[in-house]
Amino acid sequence: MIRIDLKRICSVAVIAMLATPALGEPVTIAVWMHEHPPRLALDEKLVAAFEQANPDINVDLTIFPNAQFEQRLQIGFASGDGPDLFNSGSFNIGQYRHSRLLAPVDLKTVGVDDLNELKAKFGIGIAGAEFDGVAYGLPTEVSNYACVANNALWRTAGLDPAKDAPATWEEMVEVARKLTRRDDGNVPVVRGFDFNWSDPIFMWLTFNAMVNQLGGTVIDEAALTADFDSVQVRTVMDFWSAWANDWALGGPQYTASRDAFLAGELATECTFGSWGRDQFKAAGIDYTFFPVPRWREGTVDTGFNAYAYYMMVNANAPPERQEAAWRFAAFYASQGEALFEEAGLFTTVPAVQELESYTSDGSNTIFTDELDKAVFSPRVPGFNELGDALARARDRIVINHEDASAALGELEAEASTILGRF
Amino acid sequence: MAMNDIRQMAGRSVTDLPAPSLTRHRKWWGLLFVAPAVLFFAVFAIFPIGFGVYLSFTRYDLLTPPQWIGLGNYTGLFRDRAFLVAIGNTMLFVFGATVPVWVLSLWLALRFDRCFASRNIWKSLFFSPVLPPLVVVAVIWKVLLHPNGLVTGLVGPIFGVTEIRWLTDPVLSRLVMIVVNDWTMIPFFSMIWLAGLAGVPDDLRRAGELDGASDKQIFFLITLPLLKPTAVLVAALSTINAFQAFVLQYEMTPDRGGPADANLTLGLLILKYGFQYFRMGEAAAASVLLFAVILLVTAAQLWLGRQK
Repeated sequence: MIRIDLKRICSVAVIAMLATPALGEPVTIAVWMHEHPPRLALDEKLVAAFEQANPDINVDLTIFPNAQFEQRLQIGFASGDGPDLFNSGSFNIGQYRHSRLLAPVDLKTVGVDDLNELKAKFGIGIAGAEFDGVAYGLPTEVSNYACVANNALWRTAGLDPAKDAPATWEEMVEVARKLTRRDDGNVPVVRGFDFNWSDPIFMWLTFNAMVNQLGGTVIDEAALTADFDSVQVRTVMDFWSAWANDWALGGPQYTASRDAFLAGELATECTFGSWGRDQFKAAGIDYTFFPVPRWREGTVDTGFNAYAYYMMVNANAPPERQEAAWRFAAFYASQGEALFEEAGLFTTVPAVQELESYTSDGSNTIFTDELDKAVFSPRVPGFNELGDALARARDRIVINHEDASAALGELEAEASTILGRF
Repeated sequence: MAMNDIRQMAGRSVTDLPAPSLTRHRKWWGLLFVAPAVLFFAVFAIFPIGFGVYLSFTRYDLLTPPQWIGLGNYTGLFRDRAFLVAIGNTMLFVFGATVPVWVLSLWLALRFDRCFASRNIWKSLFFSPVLPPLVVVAVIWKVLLHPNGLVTGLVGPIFGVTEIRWLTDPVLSRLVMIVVNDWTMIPFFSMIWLAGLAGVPDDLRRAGELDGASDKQIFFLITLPLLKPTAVLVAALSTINAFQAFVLQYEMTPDRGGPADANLTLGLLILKYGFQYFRMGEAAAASVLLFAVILLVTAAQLWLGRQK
């Protein structure tokens, strides 16, 4: 005989009523994004357009200052009061995925059948959010670096960026020597080129890529193992050390490379994306982009590492809010043309590369060609700690002149300990 | 009236008599009035401290729920190279940011305690470093300490160099952190010493002079003993401030604590553990240890201050 437990049925019914919105009542999704002033007006416009087209969804958009964004996001997750959808850089994607905070892209809601269709719709930018055949985000900005020359400073040194741009790191030494101007004490007043020593993230995006060019890999993403004590790492570290010490072409003691380039104190910089154009114009710099050099004996044709910003959905949000969040994410990430033309943000949505505003500037192809060959990195949990460890080893070798083998050996042990926690 | 009743009434004190209700419930009214402040303190001070202590016994990455691991974080910290480096750096900074500050700020206060021409103008000038926030101080000094900047321009010719790596040399940068800190703290503590000096009666010093005591004797035998409460305050505040060193190292040094962790203080490491390395359990454990050390040192200073 079936016994009807009225109390239990009532409880389930009450929970179901509380958990799901009443019929016709719109779902409100909390969306958190970092501040990028040229994009703010577009954000408002896109939210309004989406809500009009989707009256069943309300978008509660909150913009946080860029410097505070990740911290606010982490506090939001910690307090259980985080967003349903957030727009975050790929740097912490490994950490968030490891903590099971990221919901896989809801292919059906996004309007595709499989990952290949998703890639066709959003381009190569998807690669930075793909792990083991599953995508965890939709790109809203894809960024990679090229080198940029200050034409005036190059001309003063008798060089033409169009003809004399170095194709290899070995050539970069010679070009930088010609471009560098020194005072009576042999101190460079204008540097020809310098690495970006200012933050561990730049160290990672550039140093790691230079190791990649030689066929090395410092972190195995899948196995979560480190290999810093390799010939390739040693070669790159020796080059950085010689750059600062033996050739005295730059170093960590000088003004950070981006600031120095904009101030006209650095003739060549290689950590600007295509978004740097507005800053060059504002600084009154006539510029020329060229691809990041490779090693003469390099085995892999790749520039510096790439990164992207993604719309990612909180895996702990209720299912109906996750679905609504993916609907908005798909709508927002599809607006590549508007993001490019109104906010200066490049995405890999195919339509962007057909825009007149894109094709009219030949240097855009430098970025897209490089992007096709780039590796998205870092994508491992514990990245910030790994980045600090790498920068510390660099300082020990370049500044303290410690034995490179010992420092790199200790770096590998430290990196293994960090990765061993996950 | 029976004799027994009279005896009973005579034996009752004033407090035994029935009181108006406000007086009768005085302690409850008192508790009611202080309750908002106590509640505020409990919610925003006691609870976070208690929760921090709890977190120090857990493995917690901010993103997933904490897991109890007992003393694991504490034992782990003492095997962590960064933590040990940070302790060494912090102790060095504490020494540089206390003893010289005590001596120089007292010396400055004694100078300004005397009358001389344009004293108030000089006083304003000397005390101006106290006014800007430490972040602003850090940014200004960072500009001044550019390897080819103004300070190098002044000091360089003495050593025959045109470039000095003030912030990227491991030894020099540690010294710079102490000097910049002391530059802004000495005027602040001078003001406290000056307030203390204002409380030292002139009569006593004059009596000393009349008895033929030298300036040195007057200072060590009359002024300094009377400044003991001020000295305890200066010592405690400067020590607490130095142990919590963070802003200058965060703003001025490469890689926030570099080069090669030469300026990694406990305060900076706690931030890195918590919000960059996702190791909130270790951040909490390091905070608890720092709290305990500050508490012990301050208690010792207060105890020493009470000794005759």
